[in-house]
Amino acid sequence: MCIGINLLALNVADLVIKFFSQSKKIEFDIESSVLHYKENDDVPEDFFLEYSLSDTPFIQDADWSFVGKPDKNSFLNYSWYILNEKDKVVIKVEYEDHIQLKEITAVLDLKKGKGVVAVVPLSGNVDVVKIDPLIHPLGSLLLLYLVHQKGGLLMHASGIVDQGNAYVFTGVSGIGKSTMCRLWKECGARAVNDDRVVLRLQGDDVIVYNNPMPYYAQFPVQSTLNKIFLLKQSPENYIKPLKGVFAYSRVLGNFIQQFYDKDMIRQHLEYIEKVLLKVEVYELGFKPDYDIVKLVRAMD
Amino acid sequence: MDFSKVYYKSEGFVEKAIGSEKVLVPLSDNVADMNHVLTLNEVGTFLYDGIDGEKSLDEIFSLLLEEYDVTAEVAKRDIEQFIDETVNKGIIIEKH
Repeated sequence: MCIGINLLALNVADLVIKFFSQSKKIEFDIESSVLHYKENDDVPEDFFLEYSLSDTPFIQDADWSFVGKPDKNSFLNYSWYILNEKDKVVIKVEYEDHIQLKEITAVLDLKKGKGVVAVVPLSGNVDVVKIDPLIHPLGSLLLLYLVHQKGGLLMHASGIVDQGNAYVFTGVSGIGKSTMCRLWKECGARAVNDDRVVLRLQGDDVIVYNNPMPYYAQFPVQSTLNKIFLLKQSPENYIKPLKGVFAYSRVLGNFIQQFYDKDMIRQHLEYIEKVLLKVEVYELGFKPDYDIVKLVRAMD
Repeated sequence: MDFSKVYYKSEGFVEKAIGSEKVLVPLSDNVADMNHVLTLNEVGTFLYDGIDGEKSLDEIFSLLLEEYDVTAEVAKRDIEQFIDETVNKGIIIEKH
């Protein structure tokens, strides 16, 4: 049975985000990507997001900082836009073929930890809109800015925990991030995620977390991160330590960032530096078999 | 190369020091392009930091000789290489 609720608290990467709606016409779908990230309602929140139903587009036209138009697919087509508006981040998603939704606009006041989210349904006279509060791609963009504000990074990477050691594997699309994740799982490791992870400094450690992913429910996993590997396909397995500015510049492009002003970019660059002061970076040349797992295991 | 020339830094980059080296992230419309970052080694960083819209290359040349144990010939070549490359990439601009 699906029960609609109007206050939903989530814990994602040690950030408590509360989703709220006054309208009975919005129900948060909790049996979706956020299922296992629920937090108690009485835990103080880092962010409070109020969702409401609207029948008109929130912002008609603007000088967008970013525009994302993924390639056409047979599943869900949309465009997204980011706008810097008087110290607020505005995220707009236009859906082309969603069964219920036409558009969603989120206006975030990051410093105050608040935001409003206007949901525009396809038809004006719907009874109830049931929505995953982190619906794709709004959720990914929301998390990016919330994590950034509280200190943290989203990374295109797979992550695993093996015998108490956590590693992330990153690199360009198609290089083998999910292959690496699968190989480790087959060798008994636990997957954090095979596509996107969050890194946050907590005390002396860097913690790697997973976060709600579009279209499937996973259980939260977190662990102290030991190493970052930059993947390279290679006929022979090898591990090469990377240092200093070289390691830094090689890793940089693998963090997810849609930042549009110099202060945001500086904060992002500084956070990456702090992470790399605590976690070593290696280039990992690999061929996709279990030998690479053995080679990496032998390092610890 | 004319060492009496003065150069200034472009606004189109965000710089980040990593130890004694530097990463320059290009911006286009204030958006960072993390996939085309430029790195400066220690000497490059020293020269980049010296470029301020006021000092001539001659003055920076003298500073480089003071700071590093290099011959005048090597220092001159380092500066020429640095200026060629950074002007080409739009990192620094000649002051007129």
